[in-house]
Amino acid sequence: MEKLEVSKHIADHRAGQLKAILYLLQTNLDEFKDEVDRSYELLKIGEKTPLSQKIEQSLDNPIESIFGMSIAIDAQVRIIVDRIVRAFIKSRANLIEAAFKTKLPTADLHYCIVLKKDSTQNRAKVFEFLDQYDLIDISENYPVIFQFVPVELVSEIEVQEEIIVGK
Amino acid sequence: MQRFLDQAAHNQDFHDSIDATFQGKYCDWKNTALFYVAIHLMKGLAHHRGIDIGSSHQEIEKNVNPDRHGAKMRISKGAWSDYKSLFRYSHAARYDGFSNPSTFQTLRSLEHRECTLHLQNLKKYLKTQGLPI
Repeated sequence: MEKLEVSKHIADHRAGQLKAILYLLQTNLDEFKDEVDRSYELLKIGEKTPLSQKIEQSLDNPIESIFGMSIAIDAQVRIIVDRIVRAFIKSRANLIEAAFKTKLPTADLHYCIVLKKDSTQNRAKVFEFLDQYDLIDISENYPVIFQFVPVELVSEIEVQEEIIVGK
Repeated sequence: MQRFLDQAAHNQDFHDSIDATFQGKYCDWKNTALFYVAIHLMKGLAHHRGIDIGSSHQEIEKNVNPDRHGAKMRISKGAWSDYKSLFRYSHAARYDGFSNPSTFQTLRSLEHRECTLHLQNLKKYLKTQGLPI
Protein backbone atom coordinates (compact mmCIF):
# COMPACT_ATOMS: atom_id res chain seq x y z
CA MET A 1 0.00 0.00 0.00
CA GLU A 2 2.79 2.35 0.97
CA LYS A 3 4.64 1.47 -2.24
CA LEU A 4 1.55 2.33 -4.24
CA GLU A 5 1.32 5.71 -2.55
CA VAL A 6 5.00 6.41 -3.22
CA SER A 7 4.52 5.45 -6.88
CA LYS A 8 1.49 7.71 -7.10
CA HIS A 9 3.42 10.55 -5.50
CA ILE A 10 6.27 10.13 -8.01
CA ALA A 11 3.79 10.03 -10.90
CA ASP A 12 2.02 13.15 -9.62
CA HIS A 13 5.34 14.91 -9.15
CA ARG A 14 6.34 13.99 -12.72
CA ALA A 15 2.99 15.26 -14.01
CA GLY A 16 3.48 18.54 -12.16
CA GLN A 17 6.96 18.93 -13.62
CA LEU A 18 5.68 18.21 -17.12
CA LYS A 19 2.93 20.76 -16.72
CA ALA A 20 5.40 23.42 -15.61
CA ILE A 21 7.84 22.65 -18.44
CA LEU A 22 5.05 22.79 -21.04
CA TYR A 23 3.93 26.15 -19.68
CA LEU A 24 7.47 27.50 -20.00
CA LEU A 25 7.89 26.02 -23.48
CA GLN A 26 4.71 27.71 -24.63
CA THR A 27 6.38 31.07 -24.17
CA ASN A 28 9.49 29.94 -26.02
CA LEU A 29 8.46 27.93 -29.03
CA ASP A 30 8.03 30.91 -31.31
CA GLU A 31 11.49 32.20 -30.55
CA PHE A 32 13.13 28.77 -31.06
CA LYS A 33 11.24 28.31 -34.30
CA ASP A 34 12.48 31.65 -35.58
CA GLU A 35 16.06 30.62 -34.92
CA VAL A 36 15.63 27.22 -36.58
CA ASP A 37 13.97 28.83 -39.63
CA ARG A 38 16.75 31.41 -39.87
CA SER A 39 19.43 28.71 -39.61
CA TYR A 40 17.72 26.68 -42.32
CA GLU A 41 17.43 29.60 -44.73
CA LEU A 42 21.00 30.78 -44.16
CA LEU A 43 22.34 27.28 -44.66
CA LYS A 44 20.85 27.29 -48.17
CA ILE A 45 23.28 30.06 -49.08
CA GLY A 46 26.14 28.48 -47.18
CA GLU A 47 25.96 30.55 -44.00
CA LYS A 48 26.09 28.73 -40.68
CA THR A 49 24.47 30.17 -37.61
CA PRO A 50 25.79 29.19 -34.14
CA LEU A 51 22.91 26.70 -33.98
CA SER A 52 23.96 25.08 -37.28
CA GLN A 53 27.58 24.97 -36.15
CA LYS A 54 26.67 23.24 -32.90
CA ILE A 55 24.57 20.64 -34.66
CA GLU A 56 27.39 20.05 -37.15
CA GLN A 57 29.95 19.63 -34.35
CA SER A 58 27.71 17.06 -32.70
CA LEU A 59 27.44 15.12 -35.96
CA ASP A 60 31.20 15.24 -36.60
CA ASN A 61 32.27 14.09 -33.19
CA PRO A 62 29.43 12.93 -30.98
CA ILE A 63 31.65 11.60 -28.18
CA GLU A 64 33.67 14.76 -27.86
CA SER A 65 30.47 16.70 -28.17
CA ILE A 66 28.89 14.83 -25.26
CA PHE A 67 32.05 15.19 -23.21
CA GLY A 68 32.27 18.88 -23.95
CA MET A 69 28.63 19.28 -23.13
CA SER A 70 29.06 17.63 -19.77
CA ILE A 71 31.87 20.05 -18.93
CA ALA A 72 29.85 23.04 -19.98
CA ILE A 73 26.50 21.76 -18.72
CA ASP A 74 26.24 24.40 -16.03
CA ALA A 75 26.72 27.25 -18.47
CA GLN A 76 24.40 25.63 -20.99
CA VAL A 77 21.57 25.28 -18.52
CA ARG A 78 21.96 28.92 -17.55
CA ILE A 79 21.81 29.95 -21.20
CA ILE A 80 18.65 27.92 -21.76
CA VAL A 81 16.99 29.27 -18.64
CA ASP A 82 18.06 32.79 -19.60
CA ARG A 83 16.40 32.39 -23.00
CA ILE A 84 13.22 31.13 -21.39
CA VAL A 85 13.17 34.14 -19.06
CA ARG A 86 13.76 36.55 -21.97
CA ALA A 87 10.92 34.99 -23.94
CA PHE A 88 8.64 35.34 -20.93
CA ILE A 89 9.60 38.99 -20.48
CA LYS A 90 8.86 39.69 -24.15
CA SER A 91 5.53 37.93 -23.83
CA ARG A 92 4.60 40.35 -21.06
CA ALA A 93 5.45 43.50 -23.01
CA ASN A 94 2.02 44.84 -22.11
CA LEU A 95 3.14 45.04 -18.46
CA ILE A 96 6.89 45.56 -18.70
CA GLU A 97 8.44 48.87 -19.70
CA ALA A 98 12.06 47.69 -19.61
CA ALA A 99 14.11 44.77 -18.38
CA PHE A 100 17.76 44.16 -17.73
CA LYS A 101 19.99 41.22 -16.96
CA THR A 102 21.79 42.36 -13.85
CA LYS A 103 25.56 42.48 -13.72
CA LEU A 104 26.70 40.41 -10.78
CA PRO A 105 29.99 38.93 -9.60
CA THR A 106 28.22 35.56 -9.63
CA ALA A 107 26.52 33.77 -12.54
CA ASP A 108 23.09 34.15 -10.93
CA LEU A 109 20.07 34.58 -13.16
CA HIS A 110 19.00 37.96 -11.78
CA TYR A 111 16.81 40.38 -13.71
CA CYS A 112 15.74 43.93 -13.02
CA ILE A 113 12.27 44.72 -14.31
CA VAL A 114 10.61 48.11 -14.75
CA LEU A 115 6.84 47.82 -14.81
CA LYS A 116 4.69 50.18 -16.86
CA LYS A 117 2.50 50.47 -13.79
CA ASP A 118 3.94 49.26 -10.51
CA SER A 119 1.12 47.56 -8.64
CA THR A 120 0.73 44.44 -6.53
CA GLN A 121 -1.38 42.88 -9.30
CA ASN A 122 1.19 43.54 -12.02
CA ARG A 123 4.01 42.26 -9.83
CA ALA A 124 1.97 39.11 -9.26
CA LYS A 125 1.51 38.64 -13.02
CA VAL A 126 5.28 38.69 -13.47
CA PHE A 127 5.82 36.43 -10.47
CA GLU A 128 3.51 33.88 -12.17
CA PHE A 129 6.53 32.83 -14.23
CA LEU A 130 8.51 32.03 -11.09
CA ASP A 131 5.52 30.16 -9.63
CA GLN A 132 5.79 27.76 -12.56
CA TYR A 133 9.57 27.75 -12.85
CA ASP A 134 10.01 27.00 -9.15
CA LEU A 135 8.05 23.78 -9.60
CA ILE A 136 10.85 22.38 -11.74
CA ASP A 137 13.71 20.64 -9.95
CA ILE A 138 16.42 22.65 -11.74
CA SER A 139 15.14 25.83 -10.11
CA GLU A 140 16.88 24.80 -6.90
CA ASN A 141 20.29 24.83 -8.61
CA TYR A 142 19.52 27.62 -11.05
CA PRO A 143 17.26 30.05 -9.22
CA VAL A 144 15.79 32.94 -11.19
CA ILE A 145 15.35 36.23 -9.36
CA PHE A 146 13.18 39.15 -10.47
CA GLN A 147 13.83 42.55 -8.95
CA PHE A 148 11.28 45.27 -9.63
CA VAL A 149 12.93 48.63 -10.09
CA PRO A 150 11.32 52.05 -10.55
CA VAL A 151 12.43 53.70 -13.78
CA GLU A 152 14.17 56.54 -11.94
CA LEU A 153 16.55 54.04 -10.28
CA VAL A 154 17.59 52.18 -13.42
CA SER A 155 20.70 54.33 -13.78
CA GLU A 156 21.79 53.19 -10.31
CA ILE A 157 21.75 49.49 -11.22
CA GLU A 158 24.73 47.79 -12.78
CA VAL A 159 23.34 46.04 -15.81
CA GLN A 160 24.94 43.39 -17.95
CA GLU A 161 22.53 43.81 -20.83
CA GLU A 162 19.21 45.40 -21.62
CA ILE A 163 16.56 42.94 -22.77
CA ILE A 164 14.59 44.30 -25.71
CA VAL A 165 11.01 43.97 -24.54
CA GLY A 166 9.03 45.15 -27.59
CA LYS A 167 9.39 43.58 -31.03
CA MET B 1 -0.02 25.91 18.30
CA GLN B 2 0.17 28.75 20.81
CA ARG B 3 3.97 28.86 20.75
CA PHE B 4 3.90 29.52 17.00
CA LEU B 5 1.30 32.25 17.42
CA ASP B 6 3.33 33.78 20.24
CA GLN B 7 6.44 33.78 18.06
CA ALA B 8 4.47 35.37 15.22
CA ALA B 9 3.21 38.06 17.60
CA HIS B 10 6.74 38.61 18.88
CA ASN B 11 8.03 39.14 15.34
CA GLN B 12 5.10 41.41 14.52
CA ASP B 13 5.86 43.50 17.63
CA PHE B 14 9.49 43.76 16.60
CA HIS B 15 8.45 44.91 13.12
CA ASP B 16 5.94 47.42 14.44
CA SER B 17 8.48 48.84 16.90
CA ILE B 18 11.19 49.50 14.33
CA ASP B 19 8.60 50.69 11.82
CA ALA B 20 7.25 53.25 14.28
CA THR B 21 10.70 54.38 15.39
CA PHE B 22 12.47 54.34 12.04
CA GLN B 23 9.98 55.21 9.32
CA GLY B 24 11.38 54.53 5.86
CA LYS B 25 14.55 52.95 7.27
CA TYR B 26 15.74 49.40 7.87
CA CYS B 27 13.15 48.04 5.48
CA ASP B 28 15.35 45.02 4.79
CA TRP B 29 14.92 43.99 8.41
CA LYS B 30 11.24 44.91 8.42
CA ASN B 31 10.55 42.75 5.38
CA THR B 32 12.42 39.84 6.90
CA ALA B 33 10.48 40.22 10.15
CA LEU B 34 7.16 40.21 8.27
CA PHE B 35 8.09 37.01 6.47
CA TYR B 36 8.91 35.41 9.79
CA VAL B 37 5.49 36.44 11.08
CA ALA B 38 4.00 34.62 8.08
CA ILE B 39 6.08 31.49 8.49
CA HIS B 40 5.12 31.10 12.16
CA LEU B 41 1.46 31.66 11.39
CA MET B 42 1.70 28.97 8.73
CA LYS B 43 3.29 26.60 11.23
CA GLY B 44 0.55 27.52 13.68
CA LEU B 45 -2.16 26.54 11.18
CA ALA B 46 -0.39 23.26 10.46
CA HIS B 47 -0.13 22.48 14.18
CA HIS B 48 -3.77 23.48 14.65
CA ARG B 49 -4.67 20.87 12.02
CA GLY B 50 -2.24 18.27 13.31
CA ILE B 51 -0.16 18.33 10.12
CA ASP B 52 3.62 18.32 9.98
CA ILE B 53 4.72 20.71 7.23
CA GLY B 54 8.39 20.58 8.21
CA SER B 55 10.58 23.41 9.38
CA SER B 56 12.86 24.44 6.50
CA HIS B 57 11.69 26.93 3.88
CA GLN B 58 11.83 24.22 1.23
CA GLU B 59 9.80 21.73 3.26
CA ILE B 60 7.14 24.29 4.08
CA GLU B 61 6.93 25.43 0.48
CA LYS B 62 6.52 21.89 -0.77
CA ASN B 63 3.78 21.21 1.75
CA VAL B 64 1.65 24.32 1.33
CA ASN B 65 2.07 25.11 -2.38
CA PRO B 66 -1.32 24.39 -4.03
CA ASP B 67 0.43 23.45 -7.29
CA ARG B 68 2.61 20.77 -5.69
CA HIS B 69 1.49 17.19 -5.84
CA GLY B 70 1.80 15.51 -2.50
CA ALA B 71 1.52 18.75 -0.52
CA LYS B 72 0.22 17.96 2.97
CA MET B 73 -1.52 21.27 3.63
CA ARG B 74 -2.41 23.04 0.41
CA ILE B 75 -3.46 26.62 0.92
CA SER B 76 -5.49 28.69 -1.54
CA LYS B 77 -3.76 30.10 -4.63
CA GLY B 78 -4.22 33.63 -3.33
CA ALA B 79 -2.76 32.80 0.07
CA TRP B 80 0.12 31.00 -1.61
CA SER B 81 0.83 34.06 -3.76
CA ASP B 82 0.91 36.22 -0.62
CA TYR B 83 3.18 33.82 1.27
CA LYS B 84 5.56 33.32 -1.66
CA SER B 85 5.77 37.07 -2.29
CA LEU B 86 6.75 37.60 1.34
CA PHE B 87 9.40 34.92 0.92
CA ARG B 88 10.75 36.55 -2.26
CA TYR B 89 10.93 40.02 -0.73
CA SER B 90 12.62 38.74 2.42
CA HIS B 91 15.09 36.92 0.19
CA ALA B 92 15.74 40.16 -1.69
CA ALA B 93 16.43 41.82 1.66
CA ARG B 94 19.28 39.37 2.21
CA TYR B 95 20.45 39.47 -1.38
CA ASP B 96 23.00 42.09 -2.29
CA GLY B 97 25.64 42.87 -4.85
CA PHE B 98 23.88 44.73 -7.62
CA SER B 99 23.01 48.11 -6.15
CA ASN B 100 24.48 50.78 -3.92
CA PRO B 101 23.25 51.08 -0.30
CA SER B 102 20.89 53.95 -1.04
CA THR B 103 19.22 52.17 -3.97
CA PHE B 104 19.07 48.97 -1.94
CA GLN B 105 17.14 50.72 0.81
CA THR B 106 14.78 52.44 -1.64
CA LEU B 107 13.93 49.11 -3.25
CA ARG B 108 13.36 47.50 0.14
CA SER B 109 11.14 50.42 1.13
CA LEU B 110 8.94 49.88 -1.95
CA GLU B 111 8.81 46.18 -1.15
CA HIS B 112 7.87 46.92 2.46
CA ARG B 113 4.60 48.38 1.22
CA GLU B 114 4.01 45.12 -0.67
CA CYS B 115 4.99 42.93 2.28
CA THR B 116 2.59 44.75 4.59
CA LEU B 117 -0.25 44.17 2.15
CA HIS B 118 0.61 40.51 1.55
CA LEU B 119 0.76 39.77 5.26
CA GLN B 120 -2.61 41.46 5.83
CA ASN B 121 -4.13 39.27 3.10
CA LEU B 122 -2.50 36.14 4.47
CA LYS B 123 -3.78 36.84 7.98
CA LYS B 124 -7.31 37.28 6.65
CA TYR B 125 -7.05 33.91 4.92
CA LEU B 126 -5.64 32.17 7.97
CA LYS B 127 -8.49 33.51 10.09
CA THR B 128 -10.99 31.98 7.67
CA GLN B 129 -9.15 28.69 8.15
CA GLY B 130 -9.82 28.81 11.88
CA LEU B 131 -6.54 30.19 13.15
CA PRO B 132 -7.32 32.26 16.27
CA ILE B 133 -5.43 35.44 15.42
